[in-house]
Amino acid sequence: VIQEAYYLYVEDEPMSREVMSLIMETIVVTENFTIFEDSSNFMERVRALEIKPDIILIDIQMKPHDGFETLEMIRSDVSYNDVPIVALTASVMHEEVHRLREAGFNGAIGKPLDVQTFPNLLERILQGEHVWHPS
Amino acid sequence: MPETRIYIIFVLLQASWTFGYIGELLSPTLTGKIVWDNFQFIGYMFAPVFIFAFVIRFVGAVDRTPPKWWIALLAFPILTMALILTNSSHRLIRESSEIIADSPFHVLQYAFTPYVYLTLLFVYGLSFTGLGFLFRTFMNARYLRRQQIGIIFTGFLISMSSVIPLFIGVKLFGQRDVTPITFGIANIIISWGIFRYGLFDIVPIARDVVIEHAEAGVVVLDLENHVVDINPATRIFNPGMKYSPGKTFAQLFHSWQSYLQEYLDNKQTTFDVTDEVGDNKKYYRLVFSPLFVQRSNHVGTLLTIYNMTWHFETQDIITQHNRNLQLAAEVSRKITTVLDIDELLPQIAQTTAQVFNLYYVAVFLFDEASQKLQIAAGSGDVENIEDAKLDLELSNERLLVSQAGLKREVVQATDTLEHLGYKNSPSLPETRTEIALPMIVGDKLMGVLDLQAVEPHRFQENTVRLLSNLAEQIAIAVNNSQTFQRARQLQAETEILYRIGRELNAASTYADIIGVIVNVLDVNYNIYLNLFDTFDAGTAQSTIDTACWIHQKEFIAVNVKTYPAEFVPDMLAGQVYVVNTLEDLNNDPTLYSLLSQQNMQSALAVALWVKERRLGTLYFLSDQPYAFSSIEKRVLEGLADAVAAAIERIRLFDEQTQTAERLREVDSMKSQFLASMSHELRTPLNAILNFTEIVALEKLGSLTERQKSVLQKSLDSGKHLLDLINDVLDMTKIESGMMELFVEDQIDLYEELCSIIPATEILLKDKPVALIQDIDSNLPTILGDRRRIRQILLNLFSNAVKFTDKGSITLSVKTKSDGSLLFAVIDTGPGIPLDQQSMIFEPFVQTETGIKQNEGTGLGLPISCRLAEAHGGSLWVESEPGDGAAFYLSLPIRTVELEGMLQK
Repeated sequence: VIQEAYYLYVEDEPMSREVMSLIMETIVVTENFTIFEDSSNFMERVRALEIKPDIILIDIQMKPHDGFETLEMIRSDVSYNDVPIVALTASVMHEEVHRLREAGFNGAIGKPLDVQTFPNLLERILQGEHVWHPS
Repeated sequence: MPETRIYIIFVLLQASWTFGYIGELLSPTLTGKIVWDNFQFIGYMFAPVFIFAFVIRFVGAVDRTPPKWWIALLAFPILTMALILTNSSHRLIRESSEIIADSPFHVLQYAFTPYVYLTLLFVYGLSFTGLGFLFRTFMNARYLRRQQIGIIFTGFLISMSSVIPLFIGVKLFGQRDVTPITFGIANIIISWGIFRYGLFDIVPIARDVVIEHAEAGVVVLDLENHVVDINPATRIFNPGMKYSPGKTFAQLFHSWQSYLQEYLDNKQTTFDVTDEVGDNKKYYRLVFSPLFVQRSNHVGTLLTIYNMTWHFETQDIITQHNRNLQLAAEVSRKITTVLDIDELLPQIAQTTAQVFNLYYVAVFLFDEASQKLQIAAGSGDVENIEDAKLDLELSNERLLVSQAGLKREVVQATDTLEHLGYKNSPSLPETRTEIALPMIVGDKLMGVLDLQAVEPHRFQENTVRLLSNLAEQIAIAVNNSQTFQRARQLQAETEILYRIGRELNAASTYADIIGVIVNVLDVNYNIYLNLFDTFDAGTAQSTIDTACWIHQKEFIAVNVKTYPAEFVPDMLAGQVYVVNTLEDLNNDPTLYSLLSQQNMQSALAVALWVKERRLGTLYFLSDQPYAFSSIEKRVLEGLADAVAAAIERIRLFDEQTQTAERLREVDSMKSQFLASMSHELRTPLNAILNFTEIVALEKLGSLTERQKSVLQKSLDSGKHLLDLINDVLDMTKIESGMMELFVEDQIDLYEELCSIIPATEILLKDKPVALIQDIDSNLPTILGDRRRIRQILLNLFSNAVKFTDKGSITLSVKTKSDGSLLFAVIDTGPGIPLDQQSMIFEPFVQTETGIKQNEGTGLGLPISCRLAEAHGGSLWVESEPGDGAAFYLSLPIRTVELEGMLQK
């Protein structure tokens, strides 16, 4: 299932993008993913995608729109507001997790990613589960 | 009874005359006849004098004939007697004598010398004058009196009749003189009258005894109300009255006529009568009584007049005294009931003026500060007086009021026209008497009571005494009232200060302070508040930091920075400084210009001090002069203290707010820094860890064992670094109070333990350590932060694993009866010495063993301990060195505090 799903990842930090790319290829073993290098013109670029993403993974601290604003943009688009959106955060600040939950994210996964459990988390998210797994 | 005596002497003299005449007739010799003739001269010469005296007395004219008249009248008969006895030597009486023998009785015959004619003139002149008096009285008299006089008149007329033939030259009985005979007849008639009409019994004796010497006036009236008799005392009642018998009562006593008319029923009647002549008041009692002769014969009226003036004057004095006492009582009563001086004093002035019927009454109060007597109340038209600004200098000796105050004694001008240097007040031109009475309580001069009357000599001694008492009572009343007023004022001041203090507590800006002053004092002044940035008490130099001012309750400017210091002069003279008029400021040009620029006339400055520190000055400015002359300095000083305290509080509050603001900023920066550091450190670390792990997992190609081992060490070190970062962040959050629990309900502990125990087993690797579980079979779900509870337990396990090389690690979870869960992680490691057992819960402290292990951050236990406490639980250790250690975690199943933090 996780190999067939289509993933969108938004991350403005190159190293993190490379890590995710590597994990997708070697751990999740899929090519069905797109990575945006920033959040500018986000919805236009999402709509421009050939395939509607099954999961959108969003970095929180990024520019020009942070994770919360990006979430808001997706949620306000009726065509995309059913897509599970998961925050990827390096922040262990507990209140941050709380804020994510309040904001309406479908889950949060802490960085560094635990490569052992990551595929399992994706699978649970695809099944509609909310996953809170900060490191 | 002189009349009786006189009449008896008269009768005896007449008898001697008749006796002498008989002797002469019977004497045979010439010599004998001459002796008898000489003897007759005694009666002849003296009888007329006595009959005249009798008549004068009988008609009541005695007091018009002085005694020397009588001496003069007696002188002539005495001289005549002397001449008769010496006739032989000078022949003035008889030149020659012969005996006429024409009858059995021989008469001595001699020619009348001029002297004898002189004696005839004397004797008959006197007799006829008396007869004239009698006749006049007879004509005016009525009834009894007329009858009495009639008898006497008839008697005398008969006596005198004998002289008629003598004068016309007819000799009835030859040369014989009938005069002695006629006198005898007259005596008989009068003597009859004495018995018939009681001549001497009724009127003359009564007159002598009662009437003449009575103090009471006596008036006898006949039935037609003509005055029959009147006594000398009556004149006292009517000094101008002439004794005029026969006049009517109405003529003599015109003003009393009405009383006589009221008496008509002829029963004894008494009237009390007042006669007023100018200031003289006379009181009389008139008693009219009917007069009866022989009990039933009503002949007239007796009016007795008693002078009751003394009696009534006494009564008047008593009445006046009573009235005065009543006034005093009234004043006393008011004094005890009226404590409001503004009400009391006008009442006293009015009442006193009314009761004593005075022109003007004023009460002056003494102001000790100004040494002035200020008018506090006045009777009547006070407005004029007040216009005159009647503040009298105590030292002004020309004024009675000031004199009384200065000397502390009663000062009186009994007649202002005669009083040296007295000048009438223009408002009181009619004053003729002024009396000023000092009002004193103890040694204290309270004021002066001033009374003025239009009549001179108005106040008698006893009135003055009473007024002095009155003044004393007023003084006591004023003193009481002032004491009461002071107490009330003090209370009001205290209330105002209390209100100011309370409302100032709520003031948070300087403008608020001024607002409070305006509201509470309810003043309409311009108010300035100058706050000093710096102030040098030595040079009185200040720099104004803030100036607020309010104009007519409306803020015009607030916080005028860089106000030039010299513009508002400092007042170091005292706490309170008052400028009554601009003239006061002639030698203070700075303040003068400040006030005049704003059209202000008077000012008040209050220094604001906190302890020894001068904060600034509070100014009140008014466009009226003397606006602050009577303001209570005590209130202002209290106000100044409260304002200074409020300013200080606001300053401290501002400082605190600023400090708190800075702290918040610092804190925010710190949090920002922590969040940022977390992110910045972890991002590269994430890459390192993820890349290393992917390589180590041989996802990018197979590795040699040695490569895998090196990569694993790299991975471990990276994870340790990540733990360190996480722990430091956690600890920092705990230390700064920013640790928040993410509380969830119904945490299934079995589930948590199921994920923790495998992790522990992984940690143990191939150590010969048994993991023993002693977990209650039906643990409750609990309330708490799932992630943090797991963090504590993992920390305890990782410590146990770290320090235990062999033996066992036991996990025990029990439900306690007090509603808590007790977790225990018990190892068989080296144990912890007692002196280090408390240190291990302190951050950045590791035991020697821990340091040797070269693992961990040293923050695990402190963080776990704080997290347990944040859950309302606790974490502690029990250990014997060499005998392992037991770490206990006690957690409440649920608490109210945690429920409060429960996430939706």
